[in-house]
Amino acid sequence: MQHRILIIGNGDDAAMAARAVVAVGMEALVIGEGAFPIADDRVTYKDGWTLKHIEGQIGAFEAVFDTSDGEQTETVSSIIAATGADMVPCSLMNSAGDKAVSFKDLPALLNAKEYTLPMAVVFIQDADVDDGQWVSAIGINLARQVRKMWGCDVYYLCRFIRGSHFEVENAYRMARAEGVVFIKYSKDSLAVMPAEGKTTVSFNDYTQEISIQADMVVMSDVLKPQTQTSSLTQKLGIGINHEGFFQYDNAYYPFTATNRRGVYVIGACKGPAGLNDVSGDAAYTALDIKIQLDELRPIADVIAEINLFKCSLCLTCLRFCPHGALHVSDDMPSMVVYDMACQGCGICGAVCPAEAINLADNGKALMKESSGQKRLKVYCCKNSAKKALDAINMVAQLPQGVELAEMPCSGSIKPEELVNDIYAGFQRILILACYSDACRHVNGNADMRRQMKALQDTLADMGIARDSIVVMDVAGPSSDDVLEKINSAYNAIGLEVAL
Amino acid sequence: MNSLGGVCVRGVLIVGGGISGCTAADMLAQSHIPVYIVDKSKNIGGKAINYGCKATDTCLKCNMCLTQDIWQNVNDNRYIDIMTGADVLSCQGDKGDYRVMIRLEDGLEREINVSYIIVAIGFQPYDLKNKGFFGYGLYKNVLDGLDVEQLLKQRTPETLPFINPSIKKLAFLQCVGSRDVQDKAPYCSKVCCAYALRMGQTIHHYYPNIEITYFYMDIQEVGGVFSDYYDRLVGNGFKFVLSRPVMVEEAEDGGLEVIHEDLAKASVVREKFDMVILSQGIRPADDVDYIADVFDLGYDANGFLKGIGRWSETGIYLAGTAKGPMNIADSMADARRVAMEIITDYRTAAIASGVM
Repeated sequence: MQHRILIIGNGDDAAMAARAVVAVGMEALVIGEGAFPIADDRVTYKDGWTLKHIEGQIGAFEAVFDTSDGEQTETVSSIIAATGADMVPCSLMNSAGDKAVSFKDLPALLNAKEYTLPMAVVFIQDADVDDGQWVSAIGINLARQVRKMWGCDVYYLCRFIRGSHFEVENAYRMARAEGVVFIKYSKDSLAVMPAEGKTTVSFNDYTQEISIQADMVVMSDVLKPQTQTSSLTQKLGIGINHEGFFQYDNAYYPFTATNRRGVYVIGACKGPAGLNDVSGDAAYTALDIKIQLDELRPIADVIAEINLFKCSLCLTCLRFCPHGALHVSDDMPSMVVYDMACQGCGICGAVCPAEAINLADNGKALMKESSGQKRLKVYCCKNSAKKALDAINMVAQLPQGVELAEMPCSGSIKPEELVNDIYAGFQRILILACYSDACRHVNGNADMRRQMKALQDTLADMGIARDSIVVMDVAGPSSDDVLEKINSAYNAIGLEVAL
Repeated sequence: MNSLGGVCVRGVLIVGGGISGCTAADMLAQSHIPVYIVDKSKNIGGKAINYGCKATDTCLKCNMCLTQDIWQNVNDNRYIDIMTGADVLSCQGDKGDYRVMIRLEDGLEREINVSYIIVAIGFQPYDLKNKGFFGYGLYKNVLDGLDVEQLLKQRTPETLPFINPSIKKLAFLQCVGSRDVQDKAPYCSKVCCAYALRMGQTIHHYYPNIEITYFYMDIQEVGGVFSDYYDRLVGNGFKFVLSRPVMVEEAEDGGLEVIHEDLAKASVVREKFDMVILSQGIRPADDVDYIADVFDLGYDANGFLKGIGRWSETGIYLAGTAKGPMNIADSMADARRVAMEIITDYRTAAIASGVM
């Protein structure tokens, strides 16, 4: 079957995505505003189309577009957002006068036929924010070009040279050999001021105050999210980070795949970090899509099930699902689960007020039963605590009164389950969740914490101590930490009994 | 031999069972492609399996948690044949039909027949003996980045195992064995700023009164949202000193002295610390020449491996830090990309032979 991939964006990043998509034998449908850099009969470009909303799941997304001919619907197998980012001049440009240009505008000047040769050119990096590697890469090469073509004094002011790519480190070394003077300035010491036909650049280089009279100042641009980014994240149901770029700031999303299966983000729209290896990311993404589509199968062993008769269409699950895996049924008054999108985290089941959603066994499984007195019940997230315990094989040696249960995500815990535990005689319940920003299901741990707070309040009203329920953050690689947390929760119960 | 869509296929040999090798193996095995992993050490997992989580009250995105699935999936996988304590002796044949001779742990030799080979031999940390003047191995409170990584794994809710109450001032020395022309490493090791800055935050979280100083040349990108990283750390009270220390000596009272140039004073100063952590860089694996010889590979300017010709023509792929410095997430992405190229090749072949 021919797979067709929707690519959003018409810049270099989108072109790279389109090339990668056709390179693995798929078709691309690209939407954007203005011209598209490549022509290929496997790439359909729709100028002026904008995305309205999407339905469906990997393999069959229904994408609805606004076009000049009205609304259009297309079926696509997967979606790549490659909208790029805006390059805006840094804030010092406002005060720098007319001798200041940005990195972006310098190439046009270098290519101009007529110009007055400057005596001294100052490059400035890191004026607003600590610029990324891509800025050092562009800036150093521009400085070398200026030095070579105009033969003037070239100063390159920065806070850090971001040379973690060998090509940049190499260019940095060559530039110094060619006579570009690199100076590191201390934070907040930089000022750029027009003065008598020149521009005065003053700063502290960690030893003293220095000022340079420049004929031209070249300043790095700052990467900002495009205005459409935040509305696109909502339409696509994917994450945004606190700087306004695509993708959650989460340990589980360092790659191009997003929280919604089948939707990917590549390039500058992910922020400066997305710029490190765009062509590599594009190739990676295209292969990932193709391999998944060729043999489409669910990713979770157990997925959510909805009881059609109980569902009251309150849409709570829709708001909480981190993976866009729920939708309103076309023919029944009920929610339905997308089987390929559901990742089995059980968050929907925990938040459903009608108790209409369940995973098999509510997503829980016993890892160790308590023998004898029930004292401590521990819920272990299978993404962290369970892995830590599996790695050291110590479960059997925990005290007899400890019962361990695994869960797909701490967000799957229902308050009712814990109340049942307390009725069953457990003196304390310990929930071992993942650290914030390290939840495989984005916010499952944070949602759980909120619910637990409410539960603790209710329990306190009933005369049950708040610390009957304890929540702790753990990580898979720290086995000793997990063991110690279980033991200390258990021993704390012992102390109360002794008193 | 195993089946993929009904066709009997030769498998893939992966040289090196670190995070790159195992990530690729996991991915291939998920597509039911038989995999052989050869690792010269006693266990798979390479270096990454010993790294620790660096979370404070929040995750710092060192990505160690992502590796855990991999180790679990690779062990006891019916598609993966693991040979530890084994060496590759020779490799003959062509794409689609390589015969590789392997010496097993018990000294016996075994020939395996594979279609593709992934060389994922990883790196070796910079040998700190070359910088004896930093006192590594001589003073007990001079540690290196790998030591701290491994000790972080043993953290408990209240303590980090390598810190004791006598430690009040701690220094990180960056770029030890990286960006160092004299030491034939003119490149940045890419990961040291990231791990050292994260470790500093972990230590600060447990012991907020310890004063932490970084001696640095440039602070590199740390990954993720990074533009405010440095400022946030300065806000924590971390000190950043733009200087490359020349020596670490033991002080008379048993502490350590870092000798470095103070730019503002324009003179060499001796500053006292209780512990020094050397952020050692990434070097090509110690057996890089041998492996290059066996599989007919080339080198890049820094001595890391580089393929000869196009991968798709030879069927010999490189993955992870064998190619140059990379962090955990990049190594995993790289290995997955290689595995996916191979999977796509297999499927194309299966379609061509009419079974899929």
